[in-house]
Amino acid sequence: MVTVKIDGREVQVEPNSTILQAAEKAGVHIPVLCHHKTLNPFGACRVCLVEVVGNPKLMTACTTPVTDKMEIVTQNEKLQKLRRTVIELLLINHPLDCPVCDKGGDCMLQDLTFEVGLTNVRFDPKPNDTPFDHTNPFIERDIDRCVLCGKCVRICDEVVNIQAISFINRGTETYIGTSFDQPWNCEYCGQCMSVCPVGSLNNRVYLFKNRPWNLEKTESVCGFCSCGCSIIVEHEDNEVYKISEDPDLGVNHGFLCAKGRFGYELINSPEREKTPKIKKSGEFSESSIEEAIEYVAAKIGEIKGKYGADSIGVLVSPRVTNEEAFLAQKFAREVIGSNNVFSFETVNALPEGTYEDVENSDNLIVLNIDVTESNPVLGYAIRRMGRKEETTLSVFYPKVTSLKRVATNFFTGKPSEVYEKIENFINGLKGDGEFKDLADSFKGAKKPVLVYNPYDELDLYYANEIKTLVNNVITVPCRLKNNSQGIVDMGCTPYYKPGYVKTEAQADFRKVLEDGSLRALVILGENPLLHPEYSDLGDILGKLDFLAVTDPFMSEVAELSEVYIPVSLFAEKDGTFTNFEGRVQSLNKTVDNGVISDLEFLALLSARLGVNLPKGIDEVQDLIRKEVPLYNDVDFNGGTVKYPFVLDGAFALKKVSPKGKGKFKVFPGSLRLHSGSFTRRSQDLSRVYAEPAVEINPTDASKLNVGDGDYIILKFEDTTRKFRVAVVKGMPDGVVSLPNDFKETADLFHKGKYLKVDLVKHNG
Amino acid sequence: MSEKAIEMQDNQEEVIQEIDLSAVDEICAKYSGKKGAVIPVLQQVQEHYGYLSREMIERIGENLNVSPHQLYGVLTFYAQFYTTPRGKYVIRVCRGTACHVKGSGRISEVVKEEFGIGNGETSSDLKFTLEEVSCIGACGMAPVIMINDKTYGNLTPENARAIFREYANKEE
Repeated sequence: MVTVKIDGREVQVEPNSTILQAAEKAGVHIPVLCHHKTLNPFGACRVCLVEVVGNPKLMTACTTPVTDKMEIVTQNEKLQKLRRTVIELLLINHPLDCPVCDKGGDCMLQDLTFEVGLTNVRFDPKPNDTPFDHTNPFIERDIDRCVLCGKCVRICDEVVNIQAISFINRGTETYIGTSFDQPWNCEYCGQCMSVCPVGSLNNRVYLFKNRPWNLEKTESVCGFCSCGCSIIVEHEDNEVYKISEDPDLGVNHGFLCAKGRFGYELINSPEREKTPKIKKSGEFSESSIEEAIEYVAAKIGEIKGKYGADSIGVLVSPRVTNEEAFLAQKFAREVIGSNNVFSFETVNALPEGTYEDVENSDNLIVLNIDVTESNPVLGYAIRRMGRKEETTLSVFYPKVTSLKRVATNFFTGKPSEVYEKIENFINGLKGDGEFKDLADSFKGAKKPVLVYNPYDELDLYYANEIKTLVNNVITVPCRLKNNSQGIVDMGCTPYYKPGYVKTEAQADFRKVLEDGSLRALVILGENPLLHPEYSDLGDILGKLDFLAVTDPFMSEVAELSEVYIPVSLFAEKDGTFTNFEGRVQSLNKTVDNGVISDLEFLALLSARLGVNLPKGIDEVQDLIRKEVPLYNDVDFNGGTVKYPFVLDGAFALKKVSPKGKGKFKVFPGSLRLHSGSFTRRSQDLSRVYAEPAVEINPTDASKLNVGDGDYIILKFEDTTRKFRVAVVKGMPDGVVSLPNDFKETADLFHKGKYLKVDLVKHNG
Repeated sequence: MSEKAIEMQDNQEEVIQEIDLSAVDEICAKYSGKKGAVIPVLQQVQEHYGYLSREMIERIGENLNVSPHQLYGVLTFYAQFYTTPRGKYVIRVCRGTACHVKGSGRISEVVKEEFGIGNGETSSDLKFTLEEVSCIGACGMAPVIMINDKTYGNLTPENARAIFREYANKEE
């Protein structure tokens, strides 16, 4: 520790701290513009200049490390004048068009101008006539307002590692742009926009919809993927206007992805249903909540009386909160008296590693998952790890993903070849083969980490092998949805009661539907018709004696229901989600769209069936603490659950055997922007990725005479279907990918995870 | 931009299609796994092809695991890198004070009259590039030009024209 004196206040700090960090600790405010706490020091804007006693030169507080007994002055007349001049000079290159700038009121430069007391600019401004750039679907760019702080370029490089933008030219001609002025093409995570201090990069989804000072900010948790990012929901008058971030909150350091940052418009979507519907003679008619609950209760009572409790089931979606999931299984097990509580989540793989483990790993393997697409914020942690010196990052995946730039080894090929390489790596761990060196380094690593896809049986098999062969390996199963982990913890599976207490009767969802023993089903938010494994069950579901569906939207399966009840989304309810790390985090209700939550639905329905389940969020949480020992002493604001096992089950080695006879091999690809089920309801995300596209490499594309955006005909067995083409480099020859949870693709992948298809150009 | 230059750009796209980028891979291979490779690689690729095209930049990026945008940022920072093909003969016309007084503006005009190229432009046959420079450091010989490494001083529009025509008629 060294001691420094800042404006007369003594403070002890770590030896390598900067003056700025020391000042923060001492409670002294130093103005900054180009500095951002998540980025490396830069020292470009000169706003943070301070005096170091005994040094004739002024120092930038954000880059200068402190030395012992350093004495620093941050406020005197000279510095004030200087800061005023620095800002005044910045304003030569920044148009004073604040009334028509969306950043007004939320602008660092505006605040600094006010702070230094600048009221008049003596210089002529440069012309403000460059047209807005709208090539990026989510981010508006105004080059004229840019003050070249470089935060966007740095965050895109240091955090996201896409390096989609750079400083172009030098001196007074510098601007932020792309190679050969191509359109902005990136992952659309919006990190650049989040750090822009001025109105140069603006959120197009929010653009001119409100003013920052009108918006109320509520901390919450993102409701899209299982990364569990802390978000700030900005809202006014019951409407969500913006999702922003706070680097000091949660696990994501203020980093979000395209979905989390720009996908929120689905909350305000005009497609949202507001009134329950009951189907009478094939037609839906609107009803009140009471009427709908009454109807469901009566039907369930009737069927239970006729066929017994086990003729009724509940299917739970990973979108619901822990509290809702807990009540759902309680409803099934205690109110109905049946163990038929289903979800499509895997129960064999539980969380182990955290973000911290990933970032601090010295040897990490990404096993057959496109993690930057499926779990983007976990992807940032992996990129951070991969960028460090002396770390080894190895990726096994059919196509080259955006981890390529930071990966030490990247193994691609046909899906079967990728598995051969994984097999060889396992052999390496056992002591021989071509992967012996990599295997040895993985075994000898201080903190080996394995990131894998827990939904694939073969991946589970190999993950289990690696876990067995490498003692200290930490596994990270990449669950998909916001509460994929939580609903299993809460016992929404026939196999376990809450907290992984094994059950006796273990019904299989498909089997009970196919053999007709299930007569009635209550679906909470899930949509089997878009799930490759269950997409064929539409007919059976439609013919059930009774089907009730709750969903924020009228989904494909809701169309089949007898009673449909619209329910709230993550921004409209309280509760907790458990992310892929097993971290429990609380969300906060910010808006009310006049629909009930699944929690209220379950409580009302149970009450009507004669059992009073708790309805208040606090009561449910108390009950969870009491009845789920796993969650007993976990902090619901960021604590992690200690799990009884990591991988459990008899995992079978089933070799990849693609179905079909075609020339091209298809594997299911991951999509960063949205899945085909729930997030497609966001108009903004869907505009960018409107329909599932076949990803194909340039060589194959030119052989087929198709280009990016063209249509192609895919033939598989007796199915032919038209898809868009996306030409991507790094896809192996003869291999294409297609997302698997769209209504246009789910039934194809129902035939098999890997398919052999024929592709021909679509004419016309 | 003159009409000829625009025409040249159109031609250039066709030219780019035909360029064999395997030399880029070879150059990058020499630096594989090494830090600080960007500038030497850019220099050597430019030396080989005479300039740096978008395709070359993308290929370098794939090899070095750096985005083309970052590379473009580097190459636009330095005056030594060019993004369009350069002529076989680079005519540097000194536009320093002494040469200006002695009429170097006329020399540039002669280049334009002869080859149809303005400052920074390249003739469509890829033979000549005109570059106006600040000072060559030979003010005693003003107005002065350089063609590649050769210096010509005490020019008049007439003898400059003669020199240019001599180069234009050179057989390879």
